[in-house]
Amino acid sequence: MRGVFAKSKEMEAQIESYLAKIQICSLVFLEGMKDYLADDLISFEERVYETISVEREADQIKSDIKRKLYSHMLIPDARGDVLGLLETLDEVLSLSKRIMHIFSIEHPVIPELIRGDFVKMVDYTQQCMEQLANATNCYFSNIRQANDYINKVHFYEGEVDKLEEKIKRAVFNSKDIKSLSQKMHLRYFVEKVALISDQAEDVCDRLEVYVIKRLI
Amino acid sequence: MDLFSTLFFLSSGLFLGWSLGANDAANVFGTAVGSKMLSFYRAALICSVFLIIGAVVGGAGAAHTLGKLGAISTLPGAFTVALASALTVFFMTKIGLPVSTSQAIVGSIIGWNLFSGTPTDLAVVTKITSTWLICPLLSMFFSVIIYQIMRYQVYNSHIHLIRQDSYTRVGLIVVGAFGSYGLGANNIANVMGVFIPSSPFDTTQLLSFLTFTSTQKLFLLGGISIAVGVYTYSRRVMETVGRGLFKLSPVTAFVVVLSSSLVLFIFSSQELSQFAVSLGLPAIPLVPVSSSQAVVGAVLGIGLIKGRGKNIDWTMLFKIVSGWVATPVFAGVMTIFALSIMQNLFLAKVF
Repeated sequence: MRGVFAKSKEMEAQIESYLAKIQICSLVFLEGMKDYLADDLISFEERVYETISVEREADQIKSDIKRKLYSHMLIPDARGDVLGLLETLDEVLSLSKRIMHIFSIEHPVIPELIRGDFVKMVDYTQQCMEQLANATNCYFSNIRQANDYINKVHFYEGEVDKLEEKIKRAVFNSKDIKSLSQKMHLRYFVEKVALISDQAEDVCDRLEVYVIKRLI
Repeated sequence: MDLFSTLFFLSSGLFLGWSLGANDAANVFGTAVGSKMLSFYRAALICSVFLIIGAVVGGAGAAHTLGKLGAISTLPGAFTVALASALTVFFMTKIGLPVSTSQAIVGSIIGWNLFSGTPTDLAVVTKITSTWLICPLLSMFFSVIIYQIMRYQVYNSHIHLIRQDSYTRVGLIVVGAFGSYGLGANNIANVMGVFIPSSPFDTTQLLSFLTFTSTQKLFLLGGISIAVGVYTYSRRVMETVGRGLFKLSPVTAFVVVLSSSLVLFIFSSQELSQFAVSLGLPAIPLVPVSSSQAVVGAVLGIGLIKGRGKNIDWTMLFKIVSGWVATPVFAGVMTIFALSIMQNLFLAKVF
């Protein structure tokens, strides 16, 4: 009997640790993008490697959780939901890592015209990731509050979408950015950053259903 | 009477016990095993041990009520009554009608009364039938209360999902053990109750303060036959119940098992009945009830809260109510038919 409680305690700690990795990753992403926009490329590259390492650690924890959920026969009724949740959360982490990596390879030039909005967009994206981690945490241990955080994710995702459109319009209407290739390149990066909040919203859509299912 | 004859005449009761173990153990551990919260062998062990304890320690109350309905005086008579009940359960299950061993045995005893010319105490019949009505209603009432408490806990206690799973797992084992005890105590009367007046066993003095009565020996034998039913045939039933008929979450399964176990315990505990009397309340009728109907009542209780009564299966309710009439009538007719064959064809003394 004590074994059951020891296993569940260990699993709780691992889930919390996984969610903490999402929060860390979101903050590293935000700081990395700020470094990039401030042309501090040395710090930015450090952040890129930090993101890769956090994502790798999160991946290991996720694999361990998956293995234990099956081998210890835990939460048989919600196991599928939790595994689905972990997989889609992992996509959020992977996206933020991949985007940082693409910035590191392609070095897009972010014109002054859109810098302010770009920072805001990255800021809201970080908020989206953080609130997603909070919502997931609530799904596990404070079911009543989960929807509050889910609503926040929806709100920040909406803000990111608005900024995405605003930046794209500014880019394509700008007379200062002359080449179409640069405009296309900027659009590509803006869309890539917006993908993170889109994925966070997709996770929340799942989470909303799982919360209802957990409310016995 | 030699051992072979004794076992032969008890075989119909042992068969009833086997079928009870095969079917009704699933009401207690079905969801836990079906949803893989508990392995079958662990469930079967807990279920068997507590069933036997319940039968031997707490089985006397409900058996006494059945005895008041009709005391079958000969072993061939008791064999025939139990056999007719078993056949009723078998045929009604075969044609897809909900059937309860408790209702079949009551019909069979009344059938024996009619055949032997023994008057049937209508007060006892009323007591038994009113308990059948109260059983699912009381189970529904308990499940409504317990479900609300559990829901409040899940909403407000900030228990981690994984820890909740561990608590539920332990809870299912505890209520499963309690339910098995209740099932043994309440339903052993169906299996061995008719053999009590003609019991082939003697009372044994084990220690100066401990006696092993002939009834307890019968109940031990019946309990073992139920346990054999649990081990040999209940696995598939448990897995079907857990996955199919009413797919409940482990927490709601806990509510259902606890509610129905409470009902089984209430209708079999002599101590509880005496306690009620000491408080100036009427005595609790100690009557064998259907564990399946207690479970259905509990599930309906949860449905009542979750869907505000919209998702209540009225056809199921109608089937249960019709079973209260159809099963005893069918069993009674079957018993009279079987007794006349035993008496006239095999020249056995059935009363």
